[in-house]
Amino acid sequence: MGKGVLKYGGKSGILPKIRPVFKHNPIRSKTPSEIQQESQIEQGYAKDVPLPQNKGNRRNLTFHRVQPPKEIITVEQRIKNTIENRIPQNIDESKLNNDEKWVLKRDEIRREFLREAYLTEAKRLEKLDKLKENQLKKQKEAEQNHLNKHQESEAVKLTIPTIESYLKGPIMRQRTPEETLIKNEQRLLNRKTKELEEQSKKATQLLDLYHSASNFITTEEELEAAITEAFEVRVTDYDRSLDHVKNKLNSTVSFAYNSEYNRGLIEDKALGELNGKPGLETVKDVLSGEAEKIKRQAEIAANEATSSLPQQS
Amino acid sequence: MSFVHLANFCAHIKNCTNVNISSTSVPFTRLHLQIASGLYKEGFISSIQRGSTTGPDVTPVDVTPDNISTRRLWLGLKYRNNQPVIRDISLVSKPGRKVNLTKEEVKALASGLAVRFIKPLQPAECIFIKNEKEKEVIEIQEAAKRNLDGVALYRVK
Repeated sequence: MGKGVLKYGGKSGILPKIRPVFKHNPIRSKTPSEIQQESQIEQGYAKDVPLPQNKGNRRNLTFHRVQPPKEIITVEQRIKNTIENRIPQNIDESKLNNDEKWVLKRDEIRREFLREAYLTEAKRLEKLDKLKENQLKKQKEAEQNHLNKHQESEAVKLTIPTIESYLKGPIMRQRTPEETLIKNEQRLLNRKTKELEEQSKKATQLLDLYHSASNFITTEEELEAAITEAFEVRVTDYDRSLDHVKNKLNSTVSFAYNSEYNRGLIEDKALGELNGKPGLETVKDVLSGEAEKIKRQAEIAANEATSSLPQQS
Repeated sequence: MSFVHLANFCAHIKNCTNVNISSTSVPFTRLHLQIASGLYKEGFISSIQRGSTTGPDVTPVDVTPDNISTRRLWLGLKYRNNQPVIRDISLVSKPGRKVNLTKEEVKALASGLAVRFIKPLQPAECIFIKNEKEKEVIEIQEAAKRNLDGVALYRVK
């Protein structure tokens, strides 16, 4: 055995590469799994990369950003194009010599072999496709099984859907029309009560002002009289109040003054008066005629009582 | 969504785990519920309960505008060997610095790379992002799987 022979695996040279039978054009359209696989491959010229230009040597050459899909030529089409359409027509065999006849015969045999080769190759490819499909299916099943094996804990299964249901809907339930109505009424009531309180307070202040208006000095004569009384008649009053202020500043609490003031307050509250004068309620009763009515009823009752007294005695 | 509320939440959880409290409550809002459910799914807290300021509900109570101010979310905190399970919880985006992550950045973070100033994920650490389109708070690994982008909210370990 020569020196360099084992280089080729004990063979006498390099065997030619196995060439595919259906070389340029596919015989079937792409399957979904193939399309999905190809979509993950980045190919073609990127957006910002300029396309190469055809400088004119090869007129038919055009460049595409992405390779356009190849035309599909099925096995039947191939057989029709390359075999059936090329069968020589209108040949008178009687005019041909033996060599020419043999050439014809040989060509026919070759065509027949080619047809056979196409069909067997198509069958082989189909078989391969099926195998691949099965393999993919098994792979997917295995992946799914692996995913299915992982089980969530019982607590997670029970709690997560509840939390997710909270998140799906609104977090807070809005008030129903009835509730809104009740709330509005309540608010209206609160506002009106407050307004009433405010109004009665104002009315009391006004009444207080009215009562104190009796002591107001409105004419010059009254002013004269008041000045005379303050500085000439009741001179000692000034000293007394000065003492009172001094006492108050020295002692922390003035019981006498406070008790008097408090008694006034209590009396006012109890009798519904304002600084010893008729209070707001009394005025209201008089204005509405309620006081008159009560007075009359009381008089009638008193009369009846006095008239019935002698009969009993 | 307010980062201030988020910051308060993180600080509150941290304070509670520092003094070994078993359960705590946060205001009942969508954001808090989303964050809490994220922490619960990843196993950082032991329970989520609805309740009021007085404690978790015994019977379910409707959330209405009248009681929303007293509604709370009660979270059960986890401890192991006398150590809190949440070692640290901190904001990534802050009120003054919002961190938007693209899909590629989310994938980079999920695969353990640093993105801008965000330090790479450590073992047993999670980053939660909020997807504006889906309006949900998702863990970064899940976001990378689902090919989502979003605002990086907080990281917890």
